Amino acid sequence: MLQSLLDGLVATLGWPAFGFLLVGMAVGFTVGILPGLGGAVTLALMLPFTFDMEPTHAFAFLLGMLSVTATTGDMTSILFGIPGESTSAALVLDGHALSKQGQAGRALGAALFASLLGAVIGAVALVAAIPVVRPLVLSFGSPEFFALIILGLTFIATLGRGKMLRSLAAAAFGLLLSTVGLDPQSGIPRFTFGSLQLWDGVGLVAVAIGLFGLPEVIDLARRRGGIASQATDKVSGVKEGILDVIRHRWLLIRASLIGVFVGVLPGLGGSVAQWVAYGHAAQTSKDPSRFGKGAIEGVIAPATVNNSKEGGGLVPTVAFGIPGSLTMAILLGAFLIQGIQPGAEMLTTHLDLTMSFVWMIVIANVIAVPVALAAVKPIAKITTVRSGLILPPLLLLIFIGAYSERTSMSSVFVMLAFGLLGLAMVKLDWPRAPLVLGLVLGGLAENYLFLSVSRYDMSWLTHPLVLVIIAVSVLSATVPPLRGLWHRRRSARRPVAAAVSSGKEHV
Amino acid sequence: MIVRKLGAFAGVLALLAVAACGNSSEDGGGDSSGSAEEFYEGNTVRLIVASAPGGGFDTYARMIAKHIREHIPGQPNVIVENMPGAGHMVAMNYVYNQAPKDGTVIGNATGGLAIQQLFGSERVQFDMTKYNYLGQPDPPGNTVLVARTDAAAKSFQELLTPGGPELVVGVQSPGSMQTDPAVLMKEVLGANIRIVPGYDGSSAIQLAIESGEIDGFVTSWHTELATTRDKFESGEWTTLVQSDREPDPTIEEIIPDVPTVYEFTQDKVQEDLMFFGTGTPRGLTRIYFLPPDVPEERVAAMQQAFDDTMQDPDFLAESEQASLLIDPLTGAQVKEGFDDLFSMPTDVSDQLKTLIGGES
Repeated sequence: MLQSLLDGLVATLGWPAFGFLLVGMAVGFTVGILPGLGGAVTLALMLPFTFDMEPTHAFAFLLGMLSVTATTGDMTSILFGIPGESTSAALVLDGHALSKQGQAGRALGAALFASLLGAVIGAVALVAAIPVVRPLVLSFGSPEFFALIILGLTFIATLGRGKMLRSLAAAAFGLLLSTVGLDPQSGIPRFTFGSLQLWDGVGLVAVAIGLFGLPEVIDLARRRGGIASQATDKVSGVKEGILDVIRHRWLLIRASLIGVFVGVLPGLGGSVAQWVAYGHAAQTSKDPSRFGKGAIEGVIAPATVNNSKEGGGLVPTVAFGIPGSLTMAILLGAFLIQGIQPGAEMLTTHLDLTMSFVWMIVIANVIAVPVALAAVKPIAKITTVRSGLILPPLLLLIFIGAYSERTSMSSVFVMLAFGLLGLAMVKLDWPRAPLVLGLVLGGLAENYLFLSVSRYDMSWLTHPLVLVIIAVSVLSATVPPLRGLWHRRRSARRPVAAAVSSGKEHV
Repeated sequence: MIVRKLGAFAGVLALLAVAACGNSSEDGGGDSSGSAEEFYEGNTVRLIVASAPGGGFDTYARMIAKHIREHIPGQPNVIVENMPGAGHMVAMNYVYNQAPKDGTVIGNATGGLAIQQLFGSERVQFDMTKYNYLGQPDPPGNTVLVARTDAAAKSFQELLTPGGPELVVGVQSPGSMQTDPAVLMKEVLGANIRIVPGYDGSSAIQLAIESGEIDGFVTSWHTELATTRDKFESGEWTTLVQSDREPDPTIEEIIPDVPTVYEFTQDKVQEDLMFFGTGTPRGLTRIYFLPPDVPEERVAAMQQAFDDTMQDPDFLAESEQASLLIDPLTGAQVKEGFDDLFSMPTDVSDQLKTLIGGES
């Protein structure tokens, strides 16, 4: 195994593979900044260029691109509040809140550094997990996936803390939205109102850009200054963000593992991972009420996951030929075209090739993150530019982002509709994150429930792993509110001590 | 200083916006002025694949997209777009109704949906007799029932034995080529099959087989040759039955003595049901087509380009490397296949409709 690890590294650093890695990174950097144009689309567009390349060159190019797309997508979310891709939407919540407080440098620094460490820790965890990947993946069937989705849904309780009814209602609306389109079991159109455009459901990117991005732009237009309403604190810049990551190292490690886990399991997909990590960060925080208002943990967790999941997603793709996400599905196409047959041999005789893929992801991050970090200072200044200058390009970003999800004007109308809804929700103080979570998880929940019942009738409810995950879900839904209640009781009893301790948490 | 930087930033954005729009701004409809070459030069052709990236459909489409460019007059840019949904119905309807009818969109879906049209399904918003067919790269798909070798049922005969083992078969949504044959084997031949619908693509089905959730699935043999040949060679999976009238030699090479469905039919009616429900007229499973009403000259140019691609030595070499079987049908042959299907005797089509055409 160690030999394969070294062989993989040598193959990656060899010329011209390394050059292709750099070219791929440059493409990924540009595309990642544009909202809507995500890693999957970029991969699909660039795939034809790789047909004539050698396998190592082709994958250096593709993986370099993919790794960087995930990172730069985060930057758009933080700076402008416009999700750079569907997999960066969770970063909008706290990342952009920090930008508005004049701490864009800190948020970017934390996100970038967390991305780097996430990729590295993810890769290490992955290499360590290779012997158990097969049994792990195969122990998850439809019932287990359904249980995992339920676990994900329990995060709603935390995401809208203090506004439990509102966040449940928002999540229910999100679930309802996920039923729009052709039902996956019988192919019958639901809630499409005769519109073919709605047959594919409501696009996640259009919804996220509308809900989060449009209200930000309108809010910016109403103000005079820049995105940052408070003057930029020159001291708390990039360095502070990096220190934040080190301060929250356990969260970083947990989020990396969540990313690897969700990435390894085919059938959950990239959009799920970051919300799970975000929910986890909020749930384990001593003071979840700060989330959504600029909690740095809310930046670190999703940024970490975004990069750690790529390594995780590679394994089932190469080992079973079963892609865990859209991007991995396109990579699988590249494997077949390159004559690489995915299968158990990729973890044994061709382990060096698999290892070189992991190395490419790590090295791409190791190069891209310092470059991006160096550029953070000037980039963060964008948030101080007065709104009149920054608005036109932002509006452009929003419209291109919505349009490019399906290259259809209908997505733009969906985005505008959800923009209005987002405005109303902000105005009336309704949490928006549960809505997105409901939309992300709803379709999966329905499908896995249906599959479980039609395969096992009701006996799936007694699968041991299902019982375990459901038990964890119950704990996850009940413990944090109870703990909060307990804290409040205690602080009511000892007001002085509580004030001191909560003051500490805000540091 | 900052202003200048911003200006540059905005400039870059504007350029990218122009580039993004350039890809799909040809919505002008059937403007037939100028030669095909003039029209295609500098233009972008979108190849709409009706299934998700990574499967057999996608692999073929990306290979064709790469090579067909050189054979289209004017050498336009050719990009692949995946539009999965409802057993290919989404893409089929899109290409018929919404795609620009100027020759910049090629559709790729299963022709298996023709049967839904025959049944008068409300969901069908297209007329299969009106597409402009380019052809199909592989021979009419031989539909096979694939199972894990360690499933309880070892042969199709065992599935027909009363009180024998049950085979759990995973399928996508109803109406797809992976669903109807399973229903017909169950309902017409009486095979002891439990059908679990709703899997999101062949990758999900294969994972479910690996994890033991299901025992098998229905697929086109050529798709399996292209993507999972090693599973059959290693003896992990086997094929229980095939839909071709004559046993397929490429199956025989790997798995000997796989029976055809016709060895289990009792009478002419059953035979017709299996033939029209699973056989050759429905074996047009990987068709390439243009929407109706595309200017004739461009249709001819595209048909020629498709045929030329199928003869292109580079294309053939790369396809072989990627285990893609190439044995093409022309557009005219595809059209003929559908004419056969639409000439099905009404008593057979009525029975088929009760079995697999029910609007649930």
